[in-house]
Amino acid sequence: MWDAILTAVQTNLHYSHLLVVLIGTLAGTFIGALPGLSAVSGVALLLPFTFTMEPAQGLIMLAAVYMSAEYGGSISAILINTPGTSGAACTMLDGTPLTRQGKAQEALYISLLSGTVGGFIGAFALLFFTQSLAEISLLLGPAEIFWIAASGLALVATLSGRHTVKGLIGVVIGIAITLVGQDAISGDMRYMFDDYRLVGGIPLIPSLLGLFAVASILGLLEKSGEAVAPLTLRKGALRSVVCELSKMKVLLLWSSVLGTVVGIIPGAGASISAFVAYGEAKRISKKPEEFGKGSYEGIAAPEAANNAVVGGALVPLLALGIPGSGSAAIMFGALTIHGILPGPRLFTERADIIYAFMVGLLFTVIAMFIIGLVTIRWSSLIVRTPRKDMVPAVLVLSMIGTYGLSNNLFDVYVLLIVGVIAYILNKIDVPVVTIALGLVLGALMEESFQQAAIVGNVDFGSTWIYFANRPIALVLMFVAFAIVVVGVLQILRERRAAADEKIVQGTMAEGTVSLRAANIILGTVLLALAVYILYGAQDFTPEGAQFPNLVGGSFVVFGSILLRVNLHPRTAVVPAQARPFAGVPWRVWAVVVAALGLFAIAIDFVGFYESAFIFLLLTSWLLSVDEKSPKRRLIGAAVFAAVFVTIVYGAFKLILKIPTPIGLII
Amino acid sequence: MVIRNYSIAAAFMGALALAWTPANAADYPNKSINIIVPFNPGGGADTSQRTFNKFAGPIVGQSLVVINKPGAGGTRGWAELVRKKADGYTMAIVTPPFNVIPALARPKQTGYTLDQFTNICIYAVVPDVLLVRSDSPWKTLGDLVKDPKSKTGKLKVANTGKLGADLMTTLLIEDATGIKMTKVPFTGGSKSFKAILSGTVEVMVGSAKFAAKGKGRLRTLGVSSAKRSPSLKDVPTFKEQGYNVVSERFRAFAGPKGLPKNIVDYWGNVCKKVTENAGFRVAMKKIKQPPAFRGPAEAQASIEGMAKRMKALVDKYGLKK
Repeated sequence: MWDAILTAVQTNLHYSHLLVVLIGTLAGTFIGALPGLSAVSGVALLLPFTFTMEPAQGLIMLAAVYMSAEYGGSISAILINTPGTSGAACTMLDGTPLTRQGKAQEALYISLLSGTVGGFIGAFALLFFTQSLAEISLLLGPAEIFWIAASGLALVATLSGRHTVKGLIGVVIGIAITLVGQDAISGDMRYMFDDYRLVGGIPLIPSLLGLFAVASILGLLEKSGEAVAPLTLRKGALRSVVCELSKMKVLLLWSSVLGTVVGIIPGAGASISAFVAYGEAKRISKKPEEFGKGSYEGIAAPEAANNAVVGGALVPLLALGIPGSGSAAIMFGALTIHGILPGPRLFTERADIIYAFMVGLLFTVIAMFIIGLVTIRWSSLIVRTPRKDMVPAVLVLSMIGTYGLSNNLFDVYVLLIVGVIAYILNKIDVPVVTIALGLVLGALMEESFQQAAIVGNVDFGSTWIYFANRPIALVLMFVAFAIVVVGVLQILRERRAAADEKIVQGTMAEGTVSLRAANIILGTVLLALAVYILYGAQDFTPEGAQFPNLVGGSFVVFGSILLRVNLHPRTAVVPAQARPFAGVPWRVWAVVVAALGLFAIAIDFVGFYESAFIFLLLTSWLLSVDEKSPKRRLIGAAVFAAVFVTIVYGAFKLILKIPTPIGLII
Repeated sequence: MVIRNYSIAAAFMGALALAWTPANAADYPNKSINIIVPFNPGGGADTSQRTFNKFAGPIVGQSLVVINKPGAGGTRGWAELVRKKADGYTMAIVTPPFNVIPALARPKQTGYTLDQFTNICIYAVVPDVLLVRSDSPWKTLGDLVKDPKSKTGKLKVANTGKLGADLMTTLLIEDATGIKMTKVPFTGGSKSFKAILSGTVEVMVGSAKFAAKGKGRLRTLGVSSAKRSPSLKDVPTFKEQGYNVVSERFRAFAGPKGLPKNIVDYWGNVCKKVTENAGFRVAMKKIKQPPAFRGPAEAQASIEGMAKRMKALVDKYGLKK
């Protein structure tokens, strides 16, 4: 084996290998940082380029894209409050607060360094323990997968902060979204109004972009000031970060192990590993109260985990021919195109290629680290972008993320609708990240639960006896409960501390809807939704009705609690005074949302880039109210729109070759 | 002078008119052709179609642009296809039975009916296989059928989705052999494959590629093609073993309903040339998609025949909703 590794190191030191690693890493970091283009889309986009390469070279390039895209996602999560990849959604919890404090650069360094550690550990695991890890992956059946997902969901107890009920509502809304469409396991067609476009459900990436990108951009509209966030460039930022990280050795190791293990489970990828690692980090942390307010640990854990996933996801791919994630599935395609069939024999028959590939993965981590280090100095300046340009730019990138890859206009509507709803919910204290949690974990939980139910019924006569007969599942179940208990204890502690001070959000401006009224409306909507969901579930098969009933039941409970609290004269005092929507520039807001809608509709008529140009011009012009000279205002907006469209066109159409409908000009 | 000016103007107008004439059937194809692949890039259908395009491109002389429209097991992309103009500039890969079953079992929610396709050719045919673990007591299909457990529903079989191609094969096998298994659906062939490797289920029915992937750990008890598959020479067919189970998946090329006859013939001819190309055959075998050729009439008949068999199953087992 050591001989094979040594030969592989030599292979990888060849300049042509180093070059593909470099290209792959640059592309991956960039694609990862772009909202909507995740690691999967990056690997898919670069797949055609590998057809003509040597097998090992092509695979290493794809691995480089995969690895660096998982890191790149954190760049936009930290800087613009929009996860570049779904795996980075968790990173925003502490990344955004740090950016607001002017510590964007520190946050980026933490992400890069812990991502490097995680990437290395995952890659080492792949190199040295493939066979044994592959056997472990076979121990994880539906029961274990269900409880891993559940321990991710248990995080909600931690994420909801003071508003426990609102956090739970968020999670259930997320799960409710995943119910729509054809249920893969029961075959039931659920809540889709017989619309064929909904058979596949509400698409995940547009929903996540709506939740984060659109909602946070709409939030940006109400802020004054030119730049998005302050940025303090400190000398020695890197050194202080290294010093901080050296105190978290256990955390980094544990998060990387978690990431690797979640990676080997098919269907559970970077986003789930990040949430699981975050929950664990908070559970074992000495300073759990700092999580969500800009904790370094809160970035280190998910970022180490989502890079460790890469090595993990490749374990079952190489050893068993089972891809552990969407990106690994595309790499499986790349392997078969070269006539390589993954499986146990691969390690003896094609040892040269496989060892070159596994060692190459270590090289991609090094490349990611170097490129990250070089780019952080520049990328952190993004937060200084003027607001008037940042708003349309992020929206156009989100549009490419939703439309550019799926070519479905329907996905754009999802982006807009979810964005607007998320913005409003966020205003009334429903944490958006809890919705994301439900969205990411809901489908996996339901799927594995239904499978466990079928298998358990045949083998033991009951799902719960089946769980009880699986020791690993039992351990995972206790972990999930432990995360809930720790979260609840902390909430109680904080509540006791905060009991003395009176909490009133928003200003006391008259004329806008009070929090109390908004809560009553939300409660009523939830009850109405519950009736609809429970009524619809009558027609489903028993398996297909389980989760709808659970969701409907939860809506009844939480909706009633909201109404009870806000209708009772004693408990309704505080929310009656809060005015969450005060200061919202509804007119600007409505124009931007309408412009975005028009942008979407115009794509089919004038073409993608043409309509992007018009949108950029219009929005940038609209937002540059401070510019007094009308001529300069128009020229400024036009120049910005032209430059941005050119960059986007070059990157997407010319380099990545993403097909868009042919427009009037291009 | 005047005449010359007129003639220049006329020539100019003529050229303009020519440029503006919508795709004239006679000079087809005169611009790039969009090919909808309703699955993710890198997946089985995508790789097959890209391989096909690689060899069809030089014959057609226009660029063949793959547009991935993933979602809902392909039905979303096919629903888009049938809504396009039948001018030969939007075509798609169809993968019967995956486009057939939803139209039969969930007609209300599927965005098309089966008569909305013009099927042009079938360029690859993949059979299904029945797999058990190597350490299981069943050495042959006969052993499995004779095992009393196989009649009680105590054995679990992994299927891809609730209404996938392999469910239909499973039902056919159960019909022919009299065994009865509990179906455990998984979201994707790889997950079914993992379920049998890990012992969550005892039996898997899936695409023939899993026979090669599972070598060493799994045993293939039967293949659902009419004759032995060249890539699985040592695996007997169900027919050989006395059970009438023939079930295949097609990689086919299709356009919207009402495609002009000359365009159908044009593509039928392209398909023929592509599938005769030795390079194409090697490339398809590499990706475990055995190449085949059935021209327009034959492809239409094959797919209609499949739809008929599927409909019988859907009716018999009450799968329609």
